[in-house]
Amino acid sequence: MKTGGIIAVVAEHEDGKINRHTLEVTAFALMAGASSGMRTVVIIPGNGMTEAGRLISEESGADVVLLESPHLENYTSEGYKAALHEFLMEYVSGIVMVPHTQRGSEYAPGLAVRLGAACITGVNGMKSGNGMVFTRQAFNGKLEMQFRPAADFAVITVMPGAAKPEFCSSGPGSVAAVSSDIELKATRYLGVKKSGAEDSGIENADVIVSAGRGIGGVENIGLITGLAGLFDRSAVGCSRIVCDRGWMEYGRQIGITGKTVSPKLYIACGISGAVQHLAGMSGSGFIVAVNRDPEAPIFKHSDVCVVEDLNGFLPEFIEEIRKRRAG
Amino acid sequence: MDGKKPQGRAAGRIKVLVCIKQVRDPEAPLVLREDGSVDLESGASRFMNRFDEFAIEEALGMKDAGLAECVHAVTVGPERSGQAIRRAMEMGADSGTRIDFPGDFSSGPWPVSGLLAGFARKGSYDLILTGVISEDDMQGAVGQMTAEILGIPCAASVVLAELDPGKGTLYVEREIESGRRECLELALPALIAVQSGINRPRYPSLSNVLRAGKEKINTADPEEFGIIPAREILVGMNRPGSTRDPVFLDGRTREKAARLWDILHERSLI
Repeated sequence: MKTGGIIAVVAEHEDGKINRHTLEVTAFALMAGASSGMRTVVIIPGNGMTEAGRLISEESGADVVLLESPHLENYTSEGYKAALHEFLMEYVSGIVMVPHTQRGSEYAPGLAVRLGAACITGVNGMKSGNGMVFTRQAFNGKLEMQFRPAADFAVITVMPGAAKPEFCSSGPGSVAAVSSDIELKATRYLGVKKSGAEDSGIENADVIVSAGRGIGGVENIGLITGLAGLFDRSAVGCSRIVCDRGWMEYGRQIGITGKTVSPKLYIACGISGAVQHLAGMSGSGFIVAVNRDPEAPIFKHSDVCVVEDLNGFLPEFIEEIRKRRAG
Repeated sequence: MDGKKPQGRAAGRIKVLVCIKQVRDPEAPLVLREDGSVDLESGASRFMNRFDEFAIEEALGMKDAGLAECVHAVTVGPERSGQAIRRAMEMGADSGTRIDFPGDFSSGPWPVSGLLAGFARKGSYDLILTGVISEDDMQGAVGQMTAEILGIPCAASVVLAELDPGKGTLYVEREIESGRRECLELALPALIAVQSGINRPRYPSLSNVLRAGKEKINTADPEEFGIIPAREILVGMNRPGSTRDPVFLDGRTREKAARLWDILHERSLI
C-alpha cells in the first residue's frame, strides 16, 4: 500500500555538513508544503549523517529521513538515483526538490526518468493555486517561463537564492533512518581532486571587477586589472566564457560552476547576466554593470547601469578616478 | 540499469554518437508578443550550441587517437537544424542524422530525450556525448535523461575523459564547485555531458568542408522511435523582473564616468 503525496528535499552535504543551498531549498519546500498541504521531508542520502539530520530537523522543523547505505557515503549519480527511486516509489505522488548544483543537476534528470516524472531544472520561483507552477529562466536570462508538472511526480532543481533559509518552526521534526540496499553496477567512485588553482582572493575581496564575453579578447584584460588596481582589497573575477577562452584562470570564475561572492561593490564589465553567473554574485552589496547591449539581463540585477562599450568607457572611468583623487 | 556487464572491445571498434542542437543566438533580442507568446523564429542567427562543439571535438579526438571507429552526429529539430549537423560533419563527423521533430523549447526535455535514446539504441553505440547544457533553453537535462531511458550510466560536467576500449570503461573527471573534480570510472556503454573547456574545438578543414558538402544529411522519422509526450506544460512566459532598482546613467561617456564616481563616492565605495 503506497502512502500519499510528499514534498522531498534531497540534501547535499560535504564532510558531514549540510550546505546552505539545501537550507534554502528546504525553506522553498516548506512554503510549497504550506500551500499544498503536502508533508515536507528532507532526505539525506549518505552514511552516518545522524548529527547533520538532527541539526536540520531542529533548524527547519521539517521531518528528516536518513537514507543510508555504504554506497551513498560518496556521491555518485547512479547511487543517488537508485536509492532515491527506491524510497520515493513508496509514495503515490511527489515533488522532489534538488539543489541546482553540479551534483544535483547531474542526477535529477535521470531520477525524473526513473519516476516517470516531470523534470524542471533551474527553478527560481513558484506559484501555487491551481496546482503548482514553477518558474525558470532561459535565453540567457531574457525570458522567464512557467511550467506546470503533468505527471504524478516532478523532479525540480532549485537555484541558489530561490528562498531565504529562514524558518518559523514550532519544534524539531522527526528523524528516521531508512537503509537502502542498492549496489553500484556501472560506476566506480575514485575520489575528489582538489583544485590546483591558486587562491585568487575573490571570496574575501571588498571590490570585484569582473569580465564577461563583452571584454572581447585577452588584450583587454588589462582594463579590468587596471580598474581593480585602483581599489583597496580588490580582486578580478570573470564569467565562465572568459576562462573557457583562456583569458583568465578558472580560479577567478564566479557563478554556479565557480565561486560565490558577495563583495561591497561588484563591477560587471561586459557580462550579459545569465542565471548561472547571477547565482554567484547576486548577494553583492552594490552592483554596477557596464554593457553595450541595453537589453542585457545584468541590468535588471544592478544598481547602476552604464550602456557603453567597455573599450570606450573603462579608460574614461579610470582617468576620472585618477583625476578626482589627484584633485 | 539493464544489468549489462562491461564488455571489452578492441581499440578502434568503439562507436561514438554525439547529440547536438542548433540554438538561437542567446545574445539576440527576444520579442515577447502581446498574447504572451515569444517570437523565436525571426531576427536572430542560429548556430550549433557551443557546448556541443566540445562534445564533437572530444569524439573526434578519440577517433584521431585510434580509439573510436566512427563518430556519428544526431540532432532533433526542424529542417534548418540540419545546418548544425552539416557543421559537425565539416568538423569531421563521419555521418549525420536529423530526426525531424520540432524539438521546440516549450516541449521540455522528455520528447527529445526519448527520440535520441531511440536512435542511439538502434545504432548500438558504445559511447554517447552531449554538451553539458544548451545555450538557449539552459535545461541541462536531455543528456542525463537519454542515458537513463537507455539504462546506461552517465556523468555530467565532464572535463576529462579517457577511454579504455580493452577494459570497456571510461575514466572521467567531472567538475564540481570551487574547481574540484570528481573522478569516476563508468562501464561502457555510457553517456557523458561534457563541460566547456574540456578541449579546444577544431575549425573545419577545407577537405572536410568539401567532403561534408557532398554528403547527404540523413533524415529520420520520429515515429520510428516512438514519441514520449512532454510531462511539463508551459503555462506562461514573461520578461524577468528586476531584483534591484536600476538607475541608467545618461549623457556622454565622460559624463557617465563622472556620475559613476559621484555615486560610488557618495556611498564610500571609492
